Parts: sequence; C-alpha cells; structure tokens
Amino acid sequence: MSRDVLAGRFLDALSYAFVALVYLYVLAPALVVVIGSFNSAPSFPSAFESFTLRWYRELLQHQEFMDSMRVSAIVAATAAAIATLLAVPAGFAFVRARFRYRDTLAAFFMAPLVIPQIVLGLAMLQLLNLFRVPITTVGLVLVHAVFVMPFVLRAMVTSLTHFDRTLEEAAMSLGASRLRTLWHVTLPLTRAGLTAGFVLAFVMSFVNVPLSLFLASPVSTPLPVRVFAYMESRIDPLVAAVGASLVLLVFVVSFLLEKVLRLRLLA
Amino acid sequence: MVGAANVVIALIHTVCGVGAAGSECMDSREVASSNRRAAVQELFGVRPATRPWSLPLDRWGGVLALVPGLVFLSLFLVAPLVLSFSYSLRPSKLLPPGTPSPSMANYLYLAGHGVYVDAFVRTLRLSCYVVLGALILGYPTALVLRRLHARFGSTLILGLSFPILAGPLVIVMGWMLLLPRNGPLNHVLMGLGLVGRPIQFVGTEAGVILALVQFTLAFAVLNIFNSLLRIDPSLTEAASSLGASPLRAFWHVTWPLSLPGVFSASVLAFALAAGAFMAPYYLGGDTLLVATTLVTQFMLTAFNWELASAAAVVLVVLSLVLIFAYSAVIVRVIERRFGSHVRGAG
Repeated sequence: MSRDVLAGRFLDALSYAFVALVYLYVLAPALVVVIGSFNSAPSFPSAFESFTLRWYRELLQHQEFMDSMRVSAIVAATAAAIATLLAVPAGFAFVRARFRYRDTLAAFFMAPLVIPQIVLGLAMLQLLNLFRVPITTVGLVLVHAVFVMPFVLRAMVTSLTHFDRTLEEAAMSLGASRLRTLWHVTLPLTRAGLTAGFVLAFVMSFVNVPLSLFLASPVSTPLPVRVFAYMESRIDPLVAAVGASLVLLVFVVSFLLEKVLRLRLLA
Repeated sequence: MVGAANVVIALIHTVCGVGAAGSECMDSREVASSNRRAAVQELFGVRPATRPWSLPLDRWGGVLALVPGLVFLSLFLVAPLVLSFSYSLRPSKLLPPGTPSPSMANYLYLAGHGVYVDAFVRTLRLSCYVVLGALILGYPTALVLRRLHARFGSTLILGLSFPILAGPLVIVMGWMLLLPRNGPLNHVLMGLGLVGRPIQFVGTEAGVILALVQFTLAFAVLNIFNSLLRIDPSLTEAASSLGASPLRAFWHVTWPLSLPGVFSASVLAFALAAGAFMAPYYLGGDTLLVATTLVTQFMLTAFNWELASAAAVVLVVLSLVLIFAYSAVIVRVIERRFGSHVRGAG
C-alpha cells in the first residue's frame, strides 16, 4: 500500500514538473522580450548589461510608432464594435431559434478562423482595388471585423447558453413586452460575456500582423505592421520595447477582466 | 461522406463553441461543456434535443437576426475570396502573352517549379509536425490541468493562452532572442549536457516547429481540456472500483471519450500552422519558403497579384482537403473504438 502511495506521489511530482516545463516553454519568449526591453546594450539580441528605461523613452518620442499605435487602436476598436453589432443578433439566433441549415450557417460564421489570414488580407485588397477604393483604414477595419467576429459570437453563445431563462419568463408574465424584456433583462445579463468578447476581439485585432500586411498605407499602418517593416531593416531594443508594451497591455487587460470583473477571456 | 460532413460541423462547434444549447437541467460543469457535448452528439449522429424557439425571439426573428452577419460575411469574406479565385485564373505577366484567359496557367506554372511545389509540401509537413507536437505536449498538460482546475480555475488557462493574446510579433521576437547559436536555449541545452555542440535553430524547420507548437499549444490544450471536463468522473471511478488499473481505466474510458477534443485540437493546430506567417518568415528565412511566405513574396517583391492569388487558393484548398480527409479517418477510428466498447460491455 505505502509503495503505491509513494508511486502515486512520484507520478504527481513528475506530472507537475512536466506542466511547469510546458509553461516555461509557452511563456519564455514573451518573458525574454520584456527582459530585453530593459537591457541597455544597444544591439539586439545581446547579453544583458544593465537596466535602463531608455528604449521606452525613445518609443514615446518615435513619431511613426506612436501614430501607428493610434491607427491600431482605432482599427481594433471599430472592428470589434462592428463584430459585436453583428455577433449579438447572430448569437441569439444560434442559441434560441430553430431553423434549417443551422449547423451549416454556424460553420459559415466560424469560417474566418480557418482561412489563413494572409489570404483574407489579399482578398480584401483585391476587393478594394476592384471598386477603386483608396487604401485607407476602411479595408483594415473590414478585414479585421470579419476575422474577430467569431470570437465575439463565441462569447455571446457561451453567455446565452448559461442563461437562466426563467428570468425572461418572469418579466414577460409580469406584462413586459418582448422588446422590453430583451432590453431590460436579456441584454444586461449577457453584458459580461459581451464585454469579454469585445475585449478579446480588440486584442486579437490590435496584435495582428498578417491580416493588415497588404492593406497598410503610409498614413494608416497598424503598429504590428510598422514594427514588422522596421524589423526588415534593423532589429534593435526599440522593437523589444514595443513588444514588451504589447505584453504589458495584454497582461493588464486580461488581469483586469479575469480578476476584477471575473470574466473569462478564453473558455 | 455524410459522416465526415457531420464531423466537420461538429468540429467547428467544438472549436468555436457554437453548439446547440442542450437540454435544460444541467449542473455547472455540464453547462460549461454543453457545446462540447453537442459536438459529440453530432459526431455520433445523435441530434441534440433542441428546445423549440423561445422567448423573446420567435422563429422568424431568429432567422432575421442572422441577416446582418450573413450580408457582412458575404460582402467582405465570400466576395473577396471569389475575386481572389478569379484573379488566379488570369495569366500572370510571367506567362507568354498568348496564354488564354481565364485558364489554369498560373496553377500549372506553380506546379512546374520545384521551389513552389516544395513550399507547399513543406507547409503540409511542418503543419503535421506541429499537430503532433501540440498533441504530445498538450494532452498530458490538459490531463494535469483537469486535476488542478478546481484549485486554480482559469488562471492557468490564461497563462497558457498568453502567446495568442500577445500576438505573433512578440512571440517571434522572443524566439529570435532565444534561438540563436549562442543564445539562451543552446546554453541551457549544452549546460545540461543534452547536446554536445550548439544546434542551428534559426533558418531550420526545427526552429519554425518550436515556435509554432508554442503558439498552437493553447488551442490544443483548451480543446482537449474541455472534452476532459465533459467526462463524468463517476465513469473512471466505476472502472477503478471494478478493479481496472489507472492505466486501463484511462485507456478504456478517458481516452476514447476525449477523442473528439483531440480531433478538434489537431484540426485547429493544423489550420493555424498552415496559415502562420510570422514564424516561418523570421525563423525559416529565405530558404524555407512556405505557402504564406510564398504569397507574400509574390505580392510584395514581384507585385504579381495573379500568382499570389493562385498560391493563396492552393493553400486554402490543400488545407481544407486535408482537414476533410483527416475527419473521415478519425470518424472511423472513433466508431471502431466505440463499437468494440459496446460489444465489450455486452
């Protein structure tokens, strides 16, 4: 018996060690970028010399990067908003309504996740070109909205699936109309899930490179594409500062969501 | 074929969480996994018991609610892709002037050049390695997470998803720091005495695979984890109380029941790996072309929209065909497992 217990303990320790290694593997790249952004050595990558905030100062003074950060924020916010407006009614339909070809339609709504993002960007460029639309943020917003919609839809479906329908029934038996019930009961109760979906959509759009690669123009280049282009000519700690800022952004946002608002970003 | 189509739909439900709402009486764990259960029901041809239309949305309201999304996706997803396909049928400027249009000339051009064929073969090979890596690391991780779930909740899962949230730029930057010949990873490997001399990661398939497995791992673990959550713990308890060893209980209860999760995890990892751009571009270098970097090269250095479109179409079609074939195989495997199970029980 005691030998079994010992063997069990040993197996436990082994499995925890394995998982710890997996987490090290998953988190190490982001970690070294953050460490590298505080390294005073002017070349990148290089061994750690001493701590400095110099690269963050330079980043704040780098006009192109700061402009691109604004472009990224605008594109991500608009795309996430469009995706939410489309995904909310669609989520209702998939969870609440029964109709033919429901499964096929669900697959269609999720298709943007399976098609390579490079291909989505290329196709959007060709669409804009066909209608002689100048390359501005419009194309970026559209292709980002297509890509992030499944994430919002998924969040919407999850929160509607968890939904306690007796609350709606109570409101309606007390004389509330359908619209009133929707507005005062249903939507407020799905707000948490929607917030999580919106934030996830924003983040997935903000950090994306391949979707925007062909759609960036000198006046509207999202931050990740700007960094990508910058890295073509040289790689220096300034780039690491951008990367570390993204890590920080994601960390703060997800921490706030999960710990303060108690929402699950990915489920 | 119908089975395979069902599996593809079930897979999309599983991957994306869009599933039938399921029946009413569910405890919290069941609620969390009801989408997955719907996927399994799909997988075995059982229609989930959907509740009839319910307030405050009637049947027609439900269909109308889909219209905005459908219109948007038709205009900005389907139409552009169709346009890309039509571009791919126009002979590019690299072809002789007399080539008829529309024609398959661009595709023949791609097929006639070893470099391009190699790029597609490499894409598929790398993606298969990535799937294997993500499953080998992801399955045990999901098993352990399943045990730790009650104590640490979503924090562990969030940590695992960090690469996805931080984005490909940060991840590739990190690997560029870690992987050089005199970089930290080689130092650690040599310090532990695992390798005699530094391994060349940058510019080799090993480096690309290492980065892509890391990126896809979270998706793999999440899908397997969710299928493990769905398994009723009393089943494994019953198995062990009837005298089955833990290994036997795992092999005959947990593993077959988690197969749908393994399946969706591998398809998602495959799609992500085949469509990945940043890791092959920076860690593979110029010599290791894959489909996505090939498209980029046609677009940004050759300004050849027609060939880029043809390469894009080939990439999409190849990955869809492979996913479909894989679905057909996996459905056989699951049927055989469950068939033998039913006989064993009888």
